[in-house]
Amino acid sequence: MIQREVDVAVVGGGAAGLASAIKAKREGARSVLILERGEELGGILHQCIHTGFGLHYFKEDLTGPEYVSRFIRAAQNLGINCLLETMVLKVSPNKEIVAVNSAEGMLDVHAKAIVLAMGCRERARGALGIPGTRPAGIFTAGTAQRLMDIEGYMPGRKVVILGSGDVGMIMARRFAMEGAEVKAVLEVLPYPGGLSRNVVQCLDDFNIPLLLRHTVTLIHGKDRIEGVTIAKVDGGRRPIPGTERVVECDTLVLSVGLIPENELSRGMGVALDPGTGGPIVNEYMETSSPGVFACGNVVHVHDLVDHVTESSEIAGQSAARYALGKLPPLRRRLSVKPGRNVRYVVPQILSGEVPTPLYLRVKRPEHSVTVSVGGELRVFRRAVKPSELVAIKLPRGLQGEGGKIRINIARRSER
Amino acid sequence: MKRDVCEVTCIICPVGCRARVVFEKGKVLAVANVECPRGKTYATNELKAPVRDFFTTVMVRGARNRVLPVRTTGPIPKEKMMDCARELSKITVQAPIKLGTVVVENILNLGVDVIASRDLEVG
Repeated sequence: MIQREVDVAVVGGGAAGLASAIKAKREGARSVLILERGEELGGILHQCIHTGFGLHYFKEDLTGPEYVSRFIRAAQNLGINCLLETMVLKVSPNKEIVAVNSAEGMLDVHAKAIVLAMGCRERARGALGIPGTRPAGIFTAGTAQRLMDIEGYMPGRKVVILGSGDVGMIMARRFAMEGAEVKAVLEVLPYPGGLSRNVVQCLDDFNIPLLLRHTVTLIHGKDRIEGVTIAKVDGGRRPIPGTERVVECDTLVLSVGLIPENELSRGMGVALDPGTGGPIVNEYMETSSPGVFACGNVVHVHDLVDHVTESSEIAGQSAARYALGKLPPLRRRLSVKPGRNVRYVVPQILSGEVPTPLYLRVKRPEHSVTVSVGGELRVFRRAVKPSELVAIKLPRGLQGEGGKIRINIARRSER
Repeated sequence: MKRDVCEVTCIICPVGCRARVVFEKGKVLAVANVECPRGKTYATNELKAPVRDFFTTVMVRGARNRVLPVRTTGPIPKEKMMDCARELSKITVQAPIKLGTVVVENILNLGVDVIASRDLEVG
């Protein structure tokens, strides 16, 4: 078995892995190695051909490929090593990685620090339990996007999209622009799942109906999908009898949620947060396993890559410092707790001693609110919604109470 | 004089302000409820002459990928999007391609170029 020794090993070469590897190298790590399962670096951004990337980080409006190309070039210029088409099978708490590829067979990497950057996966039909036949023509949004934007295939001509997350709406526009008929985008919730700008520029611009409080209740067709039965749902998301109708289609696109991919993290015993589905991290983006860091969609699902880059740089910088023996241990561990209308917060552990970006996702939309950080800091927001991550800069000097800091979304009148 | 008010959702950034635009005889008098000046400009233009970023793919020969992502160098009139898509469906480029390479100059005389969004090597 081929053995390698490196300062920092990064699992995954997408937006998060690249940003952390670059930062680790710049921070002084002598050897940085990226292990990437795909054929090229860059991950999902290569198939996100629309603009909207980099507005915060570069102050420019870039497409996904343009955004990630800047990081790929930086990684190459810095001499960061990279193994492509290489699948990591196991990561151990003693920072040993077992991977496999077709050129070298099994390989063994001993790292002084590890960054987990495996991203997330799409929820598929099996997770929804939609009754009906099992014909061809049912795709997750990401698969349809890959077929169209990288492999150059048109998945279908008459399309129904289930789920109004950003990827679902972006694919509705993509299908429309390629001449397909997009019958409708269905959303089980009473509000759209993605950004409001996408409702305008992806659906309204192309006269695509957005059916809120609707779902698919039956799939028709034997070899190829021929249609779906759709129905209105009640407050408990149960289909309302009598509201069913059949919509003819040759393609059903599922955009029904993303799940952080933590098989490796779980395998090595890293503590996970049920709220995010990812590892619990501190302000260094360090997991419960010392010297093992995590960043990007493996920690929680982001809506903006700019935030991924920001926290991945923290992970990369911390990993390099850890590898060089220069990362000071946290002097205090305040536990950050989600309070009223907060689904989750990242990082979950803080010392309060360094300025830190705090990310949180709300449970339901609200207007005119204050984000209150343990009563020590209050930040006004005109509107919060589940589809838009709330990012706050925490100053140094937070004290907490009894080792905890609770984050609440307070309505202004309740102050 | 009759004044009209309409709501426009700003698409410049992910905040998605619901701009309230007051106009009279096609002239914009005021824009309210936006968080930044870009929202004001957007809402005004959206009523006068709406524009959009444009991006799609074109066929590519000689690379591992069958299509190349492309974008325009600036926004185009909203109603020209499908015309541009149709125009670009006729085009095939040859690998290798460098990010920023002009694929179509001044497409449909709109004053913007169509450029490659990424490098594609021969493969």
